[in-house]
Amino acid sequence: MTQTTQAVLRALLDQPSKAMYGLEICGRAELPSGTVHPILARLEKAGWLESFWEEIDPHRQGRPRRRYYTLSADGAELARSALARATESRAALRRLQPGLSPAGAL
Amino acid sequence: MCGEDRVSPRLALTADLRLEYDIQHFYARLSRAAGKYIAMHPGLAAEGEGQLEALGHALAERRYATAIRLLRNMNTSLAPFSGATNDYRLLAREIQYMRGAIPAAAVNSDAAEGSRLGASAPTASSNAALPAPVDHPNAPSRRTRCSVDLALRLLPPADRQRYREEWAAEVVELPRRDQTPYALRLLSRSVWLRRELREKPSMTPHLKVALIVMVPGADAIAALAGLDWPATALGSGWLLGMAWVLSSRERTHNLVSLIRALRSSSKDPSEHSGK
Repeated sequence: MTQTTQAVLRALLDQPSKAMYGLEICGRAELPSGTVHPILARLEKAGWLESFWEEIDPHRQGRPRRRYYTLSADGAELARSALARATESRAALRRLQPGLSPAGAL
Repeated sequence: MCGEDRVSPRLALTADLRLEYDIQHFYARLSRAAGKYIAMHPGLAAEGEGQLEALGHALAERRYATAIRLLRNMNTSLAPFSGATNDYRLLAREIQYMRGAIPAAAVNSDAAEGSRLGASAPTASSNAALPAPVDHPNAPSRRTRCSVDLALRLLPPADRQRYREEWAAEVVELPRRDQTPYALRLLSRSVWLRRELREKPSMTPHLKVALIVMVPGADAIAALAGLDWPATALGSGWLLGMAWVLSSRERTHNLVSLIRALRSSSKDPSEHSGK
């Protein structure tokens, strides 16, 4: 799992019940825009995420409706275990190679 | 999307060709969807095929208001079949979007026809899927819209409408100075998005976890997968290479000999210096 995928999952796991749209996820994950959409598509295809359209009238609101993403019940569980595994793997690699910086140069 | 009142002839031609492509693709999808439901319900064949033909003519002649009216009629006649209803709703929205991409003169003549058809035909302003209303304070510039449009062109046709609307909603959230960099980043990443959208999921996450737990060595590969792809490729190659060597007694023996030879050659200088 890449660092960017982990950042997206962490952003979504901060508030698992809250649905977020792409730009909001970019901001929370501190990633440049455009990088999150391929990740969101992959996670959605794997069943970790669910997405839905915002229920507004675009003409009344004066803006197009947003696409919201939220972790599925299984997805939240799998994301937590995947992040835990990734942290363990990083820690194991750091033990093997103590010269690595604590910030994680991986 | 790039269509504006004053556009260069080259841009106008590009927009025209793109629209032509959209129409052809749209009609192909519509034919497939209609064919499926007509095959399921032969009683609808004569009526359905007649409507489809009329719709094909309307699209070819760019009479979009007529096309939307015909689609709505088809929608009503196929109402008992919920899947069909949804398909036609989606397609009607695509037509509405295409109306936004065509030259102003064509929209006006079509809107005149629409007004003759009555309230069922949408007006020229009912482009729900356009990036943003032109009078929106954060209405994107032409450069931004062209970049987003180009990014959309790289996506599989079935997913374009969804991302068109999703990205449009995000673009108007940004201040105007940030919109073009945002659109360019979308463009630069659209190839990756295309790959994700085209790829079928190879295995479920549950199966992946089960494989990592059950298969010896997969844990090490999973740990390496935490790195970026070059490290993962190198690590996986190393593991496979070792497995290949250890699978044969002769190769293992050669490897041990090689390691011994390397060790002895590295010890030699110290031995000489000791003497």
